[in-house]
Amino acid sequence: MNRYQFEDLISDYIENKIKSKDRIEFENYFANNIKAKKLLDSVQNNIEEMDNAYEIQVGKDFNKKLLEKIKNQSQKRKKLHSSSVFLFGFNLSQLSIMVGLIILFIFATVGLNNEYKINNFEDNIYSDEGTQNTTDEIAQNYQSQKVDTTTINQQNNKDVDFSKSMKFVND
Amino acid sequence: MKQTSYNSYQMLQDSKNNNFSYKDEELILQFQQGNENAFVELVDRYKNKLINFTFNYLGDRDLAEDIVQETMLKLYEKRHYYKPIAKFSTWIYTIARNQANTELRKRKRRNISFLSQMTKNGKDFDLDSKAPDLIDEFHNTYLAQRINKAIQLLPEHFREVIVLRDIQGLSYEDIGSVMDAPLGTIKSRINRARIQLQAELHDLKKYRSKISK
Repeated sequence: MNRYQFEDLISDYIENKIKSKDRIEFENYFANNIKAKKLLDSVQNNIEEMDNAYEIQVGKDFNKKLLEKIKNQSQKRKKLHSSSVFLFGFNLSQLSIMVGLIILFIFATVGLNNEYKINNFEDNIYSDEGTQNTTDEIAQNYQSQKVDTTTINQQNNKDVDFSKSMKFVND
Repeated sequence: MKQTSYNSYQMLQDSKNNNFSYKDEELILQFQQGNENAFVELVDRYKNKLINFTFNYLGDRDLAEDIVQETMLKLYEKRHYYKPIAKFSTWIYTIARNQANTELRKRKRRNISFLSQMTKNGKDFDLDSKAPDLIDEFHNTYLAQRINKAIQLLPEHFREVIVLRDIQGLSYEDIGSVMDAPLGTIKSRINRARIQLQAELHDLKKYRSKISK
């Protein structure tokens, strides 16, 4: 048996839970080892001291304080309960949030409905004007396409005078 | 509400006059069925055990008493959570332990050392003495202080088990239930804790033999 094995068995030995085979080995070890014997005695003594150590006690008004606490807690709970049940099992804050959400929902629904109606109306108007515009544009384009491009060039050339910009090279 | 308070107080007084011979488990069942006398009896049975556990665990007497108050309040409010499959003692110790651990975590966050506080306010060993002799009382208080300080030096997981085993006298199985740890772990921790304590308290025997002379 080594020191660590001995230490592991100290509590079992003190509490009489050590196996008989280990007990012989354990007793042989501390019989030949003063330090081990001292350790065993010291641990045993400390257990006794702790067992006999002064016990503190709760204050004299412990029960009174406790009953006060219980009373306060149940009062709080009752208050909370009475304030919590307001209408249909909802308390004031839950109810106000719900009302707010309902109002928001109504406004949103009405707003969306109006927007839809406006969009619909505008679509109807723009769809008539749009067709008119496009036909005009097509007609204009068609007219412009009918113009002969060679005459345009000739007209442009008439306007340009190249006489001053021309230089004759001597033969 | 005043009526309730009066009734509770009356019950407390009444319960002092009655000698309950019920087991803890029977009492909690009665309490669950609405008998508040049973609650008062349970409080009386466990308040001093729990304050010794929490005091030795935390090292602060006032805080220990607050935790026992909170534990009893939890017992009152959560009485229906108790199931007869478990021992009442392990259930109540578990509540107290959880309360104490919550407080320890809070303290750690605030970086408050219990030991430094103990030496500052000097209120930590306000022990209710039953010793007839003043000198005996002094020595016993000194020994209790030494033991408590040595326990405070242990790591948390050792501190819990040593208090539950060597001060509260719980069985290994019950400690396992309270700590929610395997029996082997509990045994090993108790053994290690005892050896570590010995390093701090090796001179107690000498002191005891001196004063007895």
